[in-house]
Amino acid sequence: MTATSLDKSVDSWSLTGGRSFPILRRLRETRLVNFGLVILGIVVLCAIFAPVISPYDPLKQDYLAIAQAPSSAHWLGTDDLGRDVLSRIIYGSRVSLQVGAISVVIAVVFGAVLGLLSGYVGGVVDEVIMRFVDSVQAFPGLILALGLTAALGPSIRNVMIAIGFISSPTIARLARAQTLSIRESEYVAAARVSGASASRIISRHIWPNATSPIIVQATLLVATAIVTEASLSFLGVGVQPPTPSWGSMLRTGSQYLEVAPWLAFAPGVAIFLTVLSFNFIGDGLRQVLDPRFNAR
Amino acid sequence: MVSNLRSSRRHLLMGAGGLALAASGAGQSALAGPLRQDGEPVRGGTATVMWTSDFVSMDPIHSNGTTRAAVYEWLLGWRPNEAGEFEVAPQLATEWETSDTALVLKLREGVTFHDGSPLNAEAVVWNITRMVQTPDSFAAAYLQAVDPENPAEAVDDMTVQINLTRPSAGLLVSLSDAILETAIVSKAAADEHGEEWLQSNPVGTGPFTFVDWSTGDSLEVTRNENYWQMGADGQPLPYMDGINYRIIISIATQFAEMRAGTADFMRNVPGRDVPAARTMSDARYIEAPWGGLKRQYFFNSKKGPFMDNLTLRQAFHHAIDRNAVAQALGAELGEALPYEFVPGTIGYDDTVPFYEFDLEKARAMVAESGVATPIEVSLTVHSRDLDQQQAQIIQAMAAEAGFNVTLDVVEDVAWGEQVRINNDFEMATRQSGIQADPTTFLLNTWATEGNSAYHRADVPGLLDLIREADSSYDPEERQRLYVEAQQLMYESAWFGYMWYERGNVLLNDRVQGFPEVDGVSVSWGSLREAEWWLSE
Repeated sequence: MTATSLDKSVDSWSLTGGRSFPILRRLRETRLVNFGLVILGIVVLCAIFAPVISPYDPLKQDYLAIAQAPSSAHWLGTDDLGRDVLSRIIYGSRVSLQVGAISVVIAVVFGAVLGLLSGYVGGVVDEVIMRFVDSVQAFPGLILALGLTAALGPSIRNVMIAIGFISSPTIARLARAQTLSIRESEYVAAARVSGASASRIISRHIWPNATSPIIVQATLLVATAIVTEASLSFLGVGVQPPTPSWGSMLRTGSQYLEVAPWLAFAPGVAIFLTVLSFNFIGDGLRQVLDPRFNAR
Repeated sequence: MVSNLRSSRRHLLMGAGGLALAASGAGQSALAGPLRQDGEPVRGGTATVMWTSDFVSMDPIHSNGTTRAAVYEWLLGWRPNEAGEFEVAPQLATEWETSDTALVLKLREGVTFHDGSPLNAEAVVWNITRMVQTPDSFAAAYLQAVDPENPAEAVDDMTVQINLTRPSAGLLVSLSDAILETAIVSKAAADEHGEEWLQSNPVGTGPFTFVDWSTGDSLEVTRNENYWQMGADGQPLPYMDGINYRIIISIATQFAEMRAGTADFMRNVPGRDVPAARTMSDARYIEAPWGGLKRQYFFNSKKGPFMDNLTLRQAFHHAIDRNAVAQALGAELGEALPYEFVPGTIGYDDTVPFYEFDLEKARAMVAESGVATPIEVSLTVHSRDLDQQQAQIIQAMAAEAGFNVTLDVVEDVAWGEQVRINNDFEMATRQSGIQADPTTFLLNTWATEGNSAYHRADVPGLLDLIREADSSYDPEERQRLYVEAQQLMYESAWFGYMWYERGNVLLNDRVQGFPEVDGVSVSWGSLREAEWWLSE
């Protein structure tokens, strides 16, 4: 196989390549992916158009309507300070998507750089980077995120940094494995012989061909990031009040389980469906992009 | 000395006058009845007691909260008499005599610390001296009438004289178990291990001895086999083998533990859960009139937008609707409280002026203050759920008047360090209990320096008025002086008085011997765990 033919072979499975439509078409053929895309679409629309579709100001307190049950006025009831739960769920989607997306971008950038370097350079660099990755992975993810957020100070920015950091080893390992495999390819050897620099080989030949599994993993990491954010906010070190976030709403709801169970139910369902949608989409992407699935 | 003892008690009751009134609010007739106790005490078992705040230190003088009461004892107790009036009672001291210049205490014979060393005048003199002279001592604030140069001296082996610089109506209360910081610790242990060691290894004379302390998690104590006090069965107290104190910040989690029957005690059930608590099948809900909590906020006089702007402080007060806060957060337990003093206690007077909720006035005063809006201010808040809810209400109300309040949520120990020790805040909220005697609390609250201070503002004449009130044994004179002091508090506007949450405890039915009468707790400060026993 020549370098050119292999390049084309890989390119045919790229989402960004010229023949990406068959992939999307195949994605849509999967029922669960469709479900995931619909849910995610709704969440994204909620996040974008929150000011338009929210029935109330999510911060507006009404002390005469505290912890009221769902009604025609408040479809999902009101919370501990008389705020409309539906409006806070809608605005909370912004936090979840923002944290999910940005923290995974941080993880991909940081992890991919480490993985590519480690895999391509090898030797001492590989050893140092991998031992660093091992040490990060030795900590339970949530505990490490909790510690980082506590140290940096509770805020949405620091939550994203913490989640991005704890997620990066997964990407680093994946990128390294891909790099180790691809760097032995004929077309990489050809590029090396033709005098291409290391940075050019990594950026033009290795990275484009290593993205598919990373995209799949990143999609699944978004789901994990949303859950982690919710956990941190539940524990009080995430998004700070009164900003609506599903995790902090869940925390408040847990205080009112006796008298107003809907306060915990609504954010719980929102987290569940959003995470489920990312998992379905991620699984679908894996089936489409992974040659092992395609061979079946 | 007996006649003097009676005289002392009378003086104290006059000094702390109004405490009986507090009791009457919760059912004075009930207090005169017998303590609830089903059957004969049974020995053995370990109780699980839940606590909201972490233990700061095991050394009482370095701790500004929560309990080590089961390990320690005090020179005096703080107990209700048959009429329902709280007064000092013998504990490590059996007799005492007050004068304008000294308090003389006769110590109990035959008491030993957990390390085997005897309780004697030397140990008590050392305790009083370190309480007063240790630089970071929280106990010092309660002993401001004690001579700092020569706090105490031994009259004989079992008699101690505490030297005063002025008369003090609140001193006896300060030395009682209503004030946790003045517990008596072992001098021998400090001599052997150093005082630093005491911070994690409590050695007292109490009914339980220390086993283990895990920060943020639990405190375990076990029976003191050599305890001096006898139980109803003629054997030494305590009845129980031990107690496991668990730190659980979330009240909802505590409530769930009680419902599951995995814990024996919690206090301050929130108003929203009171109906469920009253109907819990295997637990009993007990009113605790002296376990209530006052909720307040205050400004820093050393930094932030309020430090040099009285008009701005007054504007903020006018922006807060305390009735709405009490209703929203306290449910059936919440009551608006525009004063430092709770109705029924000395000092309370509803003719004292306060800042009424008036949003238009608040906005006008913000404009008058000359500060551009929105006025940025950071509010340092304890991480307790209710504190966070309250802070969000304050935030929303203040926003209506032009303040942009950002919340700085910190956990218990960090709050103490940031606000009271390091003075690193702009404004903060606090909760505080009802005081057996208001003197020390007020001197702490309005202190201009030290590790117990809050806003650190110097309000001319205020501290003198409080000390003058403490120096008087005439309740009418004390009342007049406290009212006068409140006028200065109002005018300086450093504190925002919001609301009051009536206290309660929830007790597993298997716990007997808890100091309660007809559903009303008669403990104040100490939970008196030595008298508890478990029916199963």
